[in-house]
Amino acid sequence: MRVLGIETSCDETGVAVYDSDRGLLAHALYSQMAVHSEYGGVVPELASRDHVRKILPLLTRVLHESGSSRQNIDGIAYTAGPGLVGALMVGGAVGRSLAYAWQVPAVGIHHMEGHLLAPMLEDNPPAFPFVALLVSGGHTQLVEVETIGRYKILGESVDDAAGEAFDKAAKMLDLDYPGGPQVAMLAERGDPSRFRFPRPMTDRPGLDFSFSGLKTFTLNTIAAHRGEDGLPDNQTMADIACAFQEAVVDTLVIKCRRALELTGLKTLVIAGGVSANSLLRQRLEEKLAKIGAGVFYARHEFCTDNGAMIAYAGCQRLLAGQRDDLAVRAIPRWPLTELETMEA
Amino acid sequence: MAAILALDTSTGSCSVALAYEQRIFEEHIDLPREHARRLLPMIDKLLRQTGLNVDQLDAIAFTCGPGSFTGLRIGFGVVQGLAYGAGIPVIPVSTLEVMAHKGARDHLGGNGRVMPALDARMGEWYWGLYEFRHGRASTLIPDRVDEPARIAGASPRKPDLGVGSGWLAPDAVDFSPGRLVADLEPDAMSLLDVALPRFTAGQARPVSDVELAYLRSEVAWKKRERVRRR
Ligand SMILES: Nc1ncnc2c1ncn2[C@@H]1O[C@H](COP(=O)(O)OP(=O)(O)OP(=O)(O)O)[C@@H](O)[C@H]1O
Ligand SMILES: [Mg+2]
Repeated sequence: MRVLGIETSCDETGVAVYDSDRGLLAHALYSQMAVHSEYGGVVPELASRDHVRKILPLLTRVLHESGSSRQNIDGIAYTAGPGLVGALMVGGAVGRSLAYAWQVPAVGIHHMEGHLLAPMLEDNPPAFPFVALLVSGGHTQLVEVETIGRYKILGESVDDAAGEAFDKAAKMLDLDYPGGPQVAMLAERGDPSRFRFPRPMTDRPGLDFSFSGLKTFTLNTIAAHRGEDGLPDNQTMADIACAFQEAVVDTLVIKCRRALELTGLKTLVIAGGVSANSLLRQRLEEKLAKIGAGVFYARHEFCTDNGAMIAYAGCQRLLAGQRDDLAVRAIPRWPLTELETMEA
Repeated sequence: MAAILALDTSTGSCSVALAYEQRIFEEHIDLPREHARRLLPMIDKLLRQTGLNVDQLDAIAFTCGPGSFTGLRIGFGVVQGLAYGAGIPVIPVSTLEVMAHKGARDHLGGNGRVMPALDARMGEWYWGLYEFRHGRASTLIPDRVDEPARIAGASPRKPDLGVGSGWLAPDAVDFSPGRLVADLEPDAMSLLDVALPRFTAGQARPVSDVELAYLRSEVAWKKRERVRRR
């Protein structure tokens, strides 16, 4: 089965074609970063307008590159939520009506299910069941995944998401958006022994996270070392980035290990933008090897938003027989635990 | 005769019309938040009535703005999917022109000046000025967005008829049209009236060449809109 996937939940327009026999055939992504950067955040109306302009050119490109046309596309998947409602509406309206015109089934996909399944696009995919750590700009969740559609939230952030924490720390350190990769880069030149940041909520049982305290700690550390121009010197900045990253990564690792022990599972999947973080990957591999567990993640470009993960998730759901009606679905808030489950 | 589908999602109501073999089929709902859920089912119903499928349409007409931003995008998104998928051209028509046409047809016998106005919120109107002779329109003032108080200055010629939600607050302008029909809304049947001659005149275009006419400049609302996290 060959499925066209469309992602427009936030500020990237992603389109891809996935084939259940031949794998990922083509994918294209247009990032609106430049559009929003001058506002210091995503402007929803601008995002929606840009999706409208970019979606058909991306479709044309991906269909061409994958050697596909209406004759061999068997279904269309689009991100139905969660996300910005106006942005979701664009991909949903185009995806649903294109499927109608082509007389193929359509399916609305949960964005975080897309992220969660992205590592399945790699050569050595994880097998169900597993524990997933979803770490993105808007989410930090530990999820027990029995199979596609059967999710149990083991823990989540009570305040900021991990990616959000990276982005806020970046702002304080005068780095550009998106902050995660920038903080990680600066941290490489930092001395990990200079500062020690707290590991929030690791001293008590449970699998919830809290990252807002780290934000305050970062701010205070910067304030305590302020130089003439209002910021600490370059080495201190790098040392702070390093301590911040260490604290986030360490916290995530502790909770992942705990989640594996609690569930008795031996497979961890990390997904979402922060799963691109090299230190996180490396530490998880080290620490989980000790308890005989393996860690799986997607290639860098499929950690952040993309169409490939939606095409993949859509293909699995369509193969299992899921069919949407003719409504365009756009669900801005949509708990992962409220997904359609599929027959085994 | 050509088979033309027309759809309007620019305001609170949502309507679809299909012209086929000298007949017109229509579907209409008045549920402001239901456009996304109901538009394709409505289209499907009309196509089933005629036994056509999307490939057999000759063109799709739609109201391309101004109007509710989200409403316009739902309509245009569906138009993009259908037209791109079936490889058929589209006929974008101004929402205000459709309203003016409907007003002239129903209330002026097809002759006279009509000023359509939609409430654009933030104390502004989307408006334009159209003149009709024997049902044929010419544009006197192209669609624009203004504070109503500025309209008199921008429009030296006064309308015989004012139509649309802007006129629910007629005192916002310091002149009065001959007649007012403030509750007139655009609809797909009136859109078809405007679009059919354009199709015949060869004015249907590839969907990839078409953009929505939001009218409100991006700069004007950007400052007011809340920025999401980050
Ligand atoms: N190497 C990295 N290290 C740390 N964080 C990173 C790295 N690369 C990306 N990020 C972070 O990942 C986030 C973006 O990820 P993603 O695109 O998955 O999130 P989103 O789509 O905005 O949110 P959501 O999927 O929850 O709606 C940003 O916060 C970014 O800073
Ligand atoms: Mg995401």
